[in-house]
Amino acid sequence: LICEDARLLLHPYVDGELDLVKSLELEEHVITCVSCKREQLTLGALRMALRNSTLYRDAPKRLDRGVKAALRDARRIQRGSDFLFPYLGWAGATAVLLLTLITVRGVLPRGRSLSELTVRELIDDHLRSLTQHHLTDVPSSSQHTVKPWFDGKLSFAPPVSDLGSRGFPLLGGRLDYLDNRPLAAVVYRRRQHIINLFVSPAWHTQMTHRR
Amino acid sequence: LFGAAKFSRFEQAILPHLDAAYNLARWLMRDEDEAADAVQDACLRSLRFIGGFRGGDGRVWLLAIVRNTCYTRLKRGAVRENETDFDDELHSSEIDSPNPEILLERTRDNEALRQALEGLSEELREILVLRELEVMGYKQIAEVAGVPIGTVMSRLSRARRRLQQVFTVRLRKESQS
Repeated sequence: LICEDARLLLHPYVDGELDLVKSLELEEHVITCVSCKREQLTLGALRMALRNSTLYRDAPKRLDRGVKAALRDARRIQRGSDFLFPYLGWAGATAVLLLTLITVRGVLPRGRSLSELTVRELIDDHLRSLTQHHLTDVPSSSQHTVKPWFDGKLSFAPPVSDLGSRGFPLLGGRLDYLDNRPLAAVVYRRRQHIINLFVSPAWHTQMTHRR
Repeated sequence: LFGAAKFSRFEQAILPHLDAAYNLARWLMRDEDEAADAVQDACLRSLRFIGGFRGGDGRVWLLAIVRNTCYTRLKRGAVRENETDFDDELHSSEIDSPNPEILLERTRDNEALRQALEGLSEELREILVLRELEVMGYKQIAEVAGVPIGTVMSRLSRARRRLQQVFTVRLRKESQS
């Protein structure tokens, strides 16, 4: 065995991934070769250092709680959907879903509907906004702050209205994603409920998802 | 899979690996909040696609999704930091292996080790994290990263070589000053 080959084999050797025959060959080489022996010890030292380090990061409690909460929500939604709304997968004792499909111009062309996956993704976006720490990227009750914030972040300008006087105070705006394309989420509040208004370009759809 | 079966499968096969998921995400995103968001996202996704999980290693399955989610988010972040890069052309035999005892001594310093690991490019960092912190075998790592085993091996040796370089340079600087 020449050193060059031995160096390559050292890694699977210290990882316990080398077959017996090769391992024996390597061990034989390392006995006589000082520099390869040294490399082996170095690899061992590095391994020890990483294994003994405190570098492993356990999931924080709030993540654990967040995932379990999302699971509970999803379960509740599912339970309702099993007998109520099998296609959209939605309903539930406390959850109310309001889907309004309007294009920016007006009424959605007949026969067009969102795929189930899209709906689920939007629901996920909504759940995520509730369970994670950032509901808004730009927290503001002023449409004049929220609207310009989207400039340059999207290829379109989402409508942002002040509905505070009608009982839907504006909380802010957020950049979200649907099918890996960015879309605007305008966040309102109705009493204790958070409303995400997702806005995407005219050739997509505009929809409200209320809970 | 429908209804309750979907959730119980998720709870039994996937949820126990939340720490592993976070550890990988934390090292890829290099930020606690970003990592937590990515894992939450990945969990929702894996729940949605749990029907495609045909038994086997739940940890591998979840980590593959976590990794995917992290890369998507990193790409969105657009501005990638410049990674500490070393000359990859250097052949391993041309680098002196640092004295193992001194190396072991130095790397007790967790902060130095953390910096060195974070300085690796993502593709090297993830392989090393999966191997040394998650203690996965080559085959599992290959599945998580979606690359052949040969690639895992070459990345692993590159990753280790770079860590050695970092500490060799460090030791040399110290001995000079």
